[in-house]
Amino acid sequence: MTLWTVTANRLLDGSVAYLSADRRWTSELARAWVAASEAEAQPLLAWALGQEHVICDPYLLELGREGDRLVPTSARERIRAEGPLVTLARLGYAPAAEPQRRVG
Amino acid sequence: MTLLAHDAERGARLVEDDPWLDLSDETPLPSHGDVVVPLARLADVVEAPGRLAARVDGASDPELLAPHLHRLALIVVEIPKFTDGRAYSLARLLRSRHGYRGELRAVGYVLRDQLFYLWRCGFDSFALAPGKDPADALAAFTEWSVTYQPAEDHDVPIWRRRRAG
Amino acid sequence: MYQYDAFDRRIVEERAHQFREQVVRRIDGRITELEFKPLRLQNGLYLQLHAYMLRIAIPYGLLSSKQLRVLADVTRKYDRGYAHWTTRQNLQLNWPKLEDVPKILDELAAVEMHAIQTSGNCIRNITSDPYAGVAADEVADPRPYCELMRQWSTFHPEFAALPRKFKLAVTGAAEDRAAIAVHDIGIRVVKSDAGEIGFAFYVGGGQGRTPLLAPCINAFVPEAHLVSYTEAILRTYNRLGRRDNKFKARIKILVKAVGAEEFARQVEEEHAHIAEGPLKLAREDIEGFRRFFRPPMYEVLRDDDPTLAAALLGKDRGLASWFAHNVAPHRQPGYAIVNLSCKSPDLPPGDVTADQMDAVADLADRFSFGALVVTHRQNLVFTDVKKRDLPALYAELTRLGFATPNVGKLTDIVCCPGLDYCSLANARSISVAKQVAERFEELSKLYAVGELHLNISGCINACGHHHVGHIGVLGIDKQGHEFYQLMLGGSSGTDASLGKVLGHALVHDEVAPAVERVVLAYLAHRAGPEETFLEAYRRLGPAPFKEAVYDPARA
Repeated sequence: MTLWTVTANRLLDGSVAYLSADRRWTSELARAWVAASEAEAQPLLAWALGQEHVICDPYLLELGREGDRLVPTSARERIRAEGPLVTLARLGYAPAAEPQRRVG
Repeated sequence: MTLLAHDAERGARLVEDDPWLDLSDETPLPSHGDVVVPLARLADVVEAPGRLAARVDGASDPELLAPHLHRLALIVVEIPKFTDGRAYSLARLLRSRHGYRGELRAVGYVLRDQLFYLWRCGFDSFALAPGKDPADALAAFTEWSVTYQPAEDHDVPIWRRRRAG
Repeated sequence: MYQYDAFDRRIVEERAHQFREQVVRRIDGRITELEFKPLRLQNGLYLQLHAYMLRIAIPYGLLSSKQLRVLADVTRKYDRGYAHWTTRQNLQLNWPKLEDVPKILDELAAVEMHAIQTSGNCIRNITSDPYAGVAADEVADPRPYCELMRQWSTFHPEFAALPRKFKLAVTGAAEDRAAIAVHDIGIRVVKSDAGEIGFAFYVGGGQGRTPLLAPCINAFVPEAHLVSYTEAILRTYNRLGRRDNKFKARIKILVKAVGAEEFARQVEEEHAHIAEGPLKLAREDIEGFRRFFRPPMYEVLRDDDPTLAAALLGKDRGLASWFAHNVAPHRQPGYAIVNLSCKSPDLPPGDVTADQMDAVADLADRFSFGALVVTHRQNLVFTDVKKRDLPALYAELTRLGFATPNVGKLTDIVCCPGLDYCSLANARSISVAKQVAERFEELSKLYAVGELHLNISGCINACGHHHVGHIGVLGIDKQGHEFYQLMLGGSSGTDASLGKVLGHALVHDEVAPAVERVVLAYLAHRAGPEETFLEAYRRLGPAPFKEAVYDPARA
């Protein structure tokens, strides 16, 4: 069954943000507010469109469930949720800290 | 409408009163006053009540304006989207190719960060998009103290200016 | 190389100031995201999947060691310690914060760098031949013209909102190493029978959704009219290019629609009005740029250096194969052109760490007059290395991971950042490159294969130049899933051609095996080791390759 949430990128650092149930922006998909239908999600998107002072270009995101985890349905959104799958740090090359985001 | 003007002598300023009356295709000519008419109507206006202006957009052919330029005191160029750059070329053609010396006004979606480019291409008045701060916009004209290429504001490319020392 | 004067310095400083103000206006709400976007794009700032991305201009790919050190510094300070060389000879930072970008611009301005017009619907960074100035087959050094055009196009008021992006490439050599056929304008320096310098203009090429090779619209534009003629093209395009459909807005669509001949006529008509105007170049104007690109103080050396000759015969076979693959002949006796491969098995293609940048800067100082070039195949070039220094340089490059002997070979993969980073991408490209590289890691295999360009793009926008790869891979999206088209027969060289799709799209893990089958089919069918993959494909057509990929049992 398809679920919906609202996502955007933060204005100041461009990082991925999801709308939480208390109308804040969270980096963790697991904390995202979830609607059961696109129609139910629309009002929240409308609200998010008024949030330009903190985020850019909000849109509706389709989600599915794998066990008890929320998982985006598209490859693009999975990578967005998880971070680049191939980076220097993940290749064990650069010591630079890359925050590890978890899916769901 | 917030109207700005900029020229080499007087610099950038707010224009308080704008005498121009903007007429659509159908509105009859008033008995007196300065009027703006659409390009298509220009040929029909044999005698204007006051000064005469034409309204065009970036896609308009300057050749169609050319026969009327001698009797125009103003050309209003509509910019529907700030990402539509045709008005820049139109302005340059009107100025340098057709020798138009009257007022050239940009209206529509005109934002602060286009003003300097518009001015360099030959515009000298600017109707700022609604809700934009005029003081902020006036600062745009002094953002750059040097430019590389010739345009309608000067005709000395940087490489010649360097040689001149 | 070019040195800024007070004018140039003021322009990049004022630009940094202007962008700082634009960022402030966006953050405090005076401008909307919709209004800010074209402003940030014209300053190379994208909003990608996970973060902002800043594309820093490297005009015609030329960098000083001093500039490279600042790039390393900025990469360390404002990013995560690595960056990416692009196919337009630029550098991309993957993780800068919006409020840090003005600070980055200040630091770049201090070493004569910027991010001006590296994106957006304007004239982009002008690219050129990485061997410019040292190529043996050069009519004239293209870099003075590139710099002249850089200045003319920077903040050109008339062309600030073109229908679409606009890319120029200039080459001065007989062999095309600048891919001029797939640019909005490709310019080739030519010499008339009378010995006069001029330019052949190729207009309306490009990759992306509608790949086209540029037709020549004028075979000889006199040197004095380089800028005026370009301005006439841009004006024609700005006025007549389509603005109703983003996918049909590039100049190639206009040229194709009206025909090259008619387009040329329109340009000539426009040019007739401006040819004798202020853009007409005097001999001294060009000389003013040329003097920045004089050859360095070469030592007088014999060309057959005994140190090198002895080393090549020595025990280290690595040196010999590196010399054969990554070193090119120089026109100055005793010197060589050295390609630094940024395609080691350990790194995503084109990625470079800050520490590597610092180390390369040191090597450039030690071995190549403190300068280097970024290539459109995402490698680096030291243009002026003494042959007798080659063994020492090889040792250093090996230590740093830049000596993989694969330049121009299959594992010298050109690759965009793809879906791992890019918001436009449909599919990952780095991971495909990695799988191919791993499959072909066995270097001996590589040598037998010879010259073979593999180009991978994660979407139709073709940043990985897949249309001109001998083997091209294009990532596409089908209902949220990644698929890949394989295309063969492209070339960006003098014999430019566009690759043709081989068959139905493949899933991610099928791509590397398919590439291998294509290569094995080539090895099986080639006339001999001298026949390159491209020559073989042109002779044989797609059939044997199609069979190898899609019907391996029969093949």
